[in-house]
Amino acid sequence: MLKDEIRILLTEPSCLIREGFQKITKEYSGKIKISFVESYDVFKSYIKSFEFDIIIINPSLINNNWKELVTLKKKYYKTKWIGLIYAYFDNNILNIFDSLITINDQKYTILDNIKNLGNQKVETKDKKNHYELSEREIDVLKLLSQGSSNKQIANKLNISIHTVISHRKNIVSKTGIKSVSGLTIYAVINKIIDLK
Amino acid sequence: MFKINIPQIAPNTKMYDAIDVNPYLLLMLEHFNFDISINKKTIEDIAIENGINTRTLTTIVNLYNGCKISKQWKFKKEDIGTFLIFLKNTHKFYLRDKFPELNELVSLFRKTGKDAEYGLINKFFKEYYNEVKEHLKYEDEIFFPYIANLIKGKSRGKYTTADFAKHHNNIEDKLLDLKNILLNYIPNKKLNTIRRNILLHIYELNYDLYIHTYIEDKILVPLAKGLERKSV
Repeated sequence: MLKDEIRILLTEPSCLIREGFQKITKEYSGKIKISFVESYDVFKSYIKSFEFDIIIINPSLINNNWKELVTLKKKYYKTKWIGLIYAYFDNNILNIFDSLITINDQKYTILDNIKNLGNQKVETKDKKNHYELSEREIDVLKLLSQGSSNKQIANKLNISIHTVISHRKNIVSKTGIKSVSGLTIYAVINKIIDLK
Repeated sequence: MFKINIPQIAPNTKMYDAIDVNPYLLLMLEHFNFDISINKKTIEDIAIENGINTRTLTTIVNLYNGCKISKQWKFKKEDIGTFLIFLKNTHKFYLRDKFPELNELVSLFRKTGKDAEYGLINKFFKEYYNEVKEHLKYEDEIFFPYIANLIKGKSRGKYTTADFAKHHNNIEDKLLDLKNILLNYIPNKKLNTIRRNILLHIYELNYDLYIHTYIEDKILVPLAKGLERKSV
């Protein structure tokens, strides 16, 4: 499977809309693989068996299964959820979705919407698999292990304290090490600092 | 944080069966000063024999099993003494057993590895060990005697539980850092045996520390605050 292919599951009873949607997505610049289902039950069995990057679903199919939908959304948190709207729904319901497509949307609005969510997918994937520190994070870690405070680091690297803190958060989440002395050991092992 | 999720256990469960599912309950028995040769007794039997509220003991067993304490369950003033004994023994266990054992293993680990990081790990652990000693000493010498006096209704002076809660720092983070470094960042297959030994000690200690901190922060502190309100 191609890495940058966006896998979409469209859950929609109307064949007019399904086929219209497919036609629109053909104009998308990247690769899209789209699967269609017509009912909520089939939808549930699909998401159990296959991975999707984007799920588009018509909320009127969900009936009283909102709680279940929220649980599913938490379970498949990597997937982006779009509501396909052509009737009135309460805001509480609309807020469940990451994004919305409405029946009056222009073609390019729809494509942009998909593109945005599709790109987010690539970013999160990169983050998850990327344990190595960025160059800037290495600069911060170097100064941190040499005993510099946030303020000193900010001055030396010419960045704001806020940015230093955010780099530090990323360092902790990438290495899994919270204490400065622990991070110093990490820095020595990875030859970011030299003890001599 | 430990990740274990054993279903709630009832007071009529045999302690033997409970330990079979979760051997860390042996630590709990020891911390409560109970006889570990449990002789087919149920949780309830053990509670009655030792003069502890059955529900209190069952709750702690379930806490060891990873179950959250139900909000409806209120511990009582009479339980405070039990928890003080538990916590004091826990401290003894850390200072006399667990940390000296780990210290020896980490020193040995240092001797077997040549690079600078082995020395750093040893130093890291020693510093952590000292921090833990300080932390426990403060509780043993100031906070616990304060609570013991509080139970007796003695005057409190300026010190309050709020002062303790404010300064009660986390002593688990560095232990988890050590675990993380040993598991992820020191490749050396020759050290497998000693590394496994250290890691198993860390897991056991972390498990126990988690419950110890939970009892302090979530049970003892609210109980002590309740007592303070009444004695004001």
